[in-house]
Amino acid sequence: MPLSREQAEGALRDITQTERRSASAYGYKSAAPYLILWGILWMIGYGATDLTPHISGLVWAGVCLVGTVASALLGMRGGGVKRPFSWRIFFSWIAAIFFICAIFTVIKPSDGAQVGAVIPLLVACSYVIMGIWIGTRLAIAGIIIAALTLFGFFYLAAHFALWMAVVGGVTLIGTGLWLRSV
Amino acid sequence: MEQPDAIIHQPVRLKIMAALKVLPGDDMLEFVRLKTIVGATEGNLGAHITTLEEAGYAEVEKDFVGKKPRTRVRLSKKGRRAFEDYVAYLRDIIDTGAQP
Repeated sequence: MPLSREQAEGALRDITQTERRSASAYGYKSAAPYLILWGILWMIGYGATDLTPHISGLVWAGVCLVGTVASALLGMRGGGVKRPFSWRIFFSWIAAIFFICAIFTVIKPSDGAQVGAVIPLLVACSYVIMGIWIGTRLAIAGIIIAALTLFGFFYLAAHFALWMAVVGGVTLIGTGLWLRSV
Repeated sequence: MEQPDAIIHQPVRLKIMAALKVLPGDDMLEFVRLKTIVGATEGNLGAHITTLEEAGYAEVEKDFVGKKPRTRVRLSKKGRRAFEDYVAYLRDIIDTGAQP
């Protein structure tokens, strides 16, 4: 028996809702390992900035290199299927690093804490925007990271790097685990 | 299409197809995640996936992650085409205002 218009509209509504839920779940699952990876790297980078500030630049260069390659390798395993090395993800990170460096070249921050605050704020901004499109959990993660960064920068200036290493890193790792559980 | 595709038309199978349709390329969805998205019981979901697999609409892969068994599902090309035809059929009914 052919469907009525109401039945067809109901079926299309079901399809749209399910597609939205599935796209969110897929987005969360895809984003989770990157958050965990960068949470660990964040702890190393900011930890080094606090403990050994004289070599923090070198440590951050290493962190960015490892993060870029590891992110591309993670892209090879996304969705449960093996893919070739993800050049798109690799060059996305290269582009992000290039533009962040370009921004700092233009605005010339006067101390390391400004650099250490602006990068997490840009990351938080990208999570909020992704969250608007993919799912609220990513947006919540972005808002939390931004709030913690601003709090640390303005109220814990003397221990900002340590704050970002512990609280920021744990937040990224925790958010990654939270997204993976969906 | 005069009649709806009976395989897809069943509500749980329709949701399974919709959930798998949004995956890019050959990506697969784990059974447990699909269960949450569709809101079906394990036995019910398993039976409907078998129906879709037998119709050639879905492909199922079973393996182990460590010692834990894992079942993953994706749409086949035939399934993707059938789902698109079904959605076009629904849109056609709405556009023409067809009544039973």
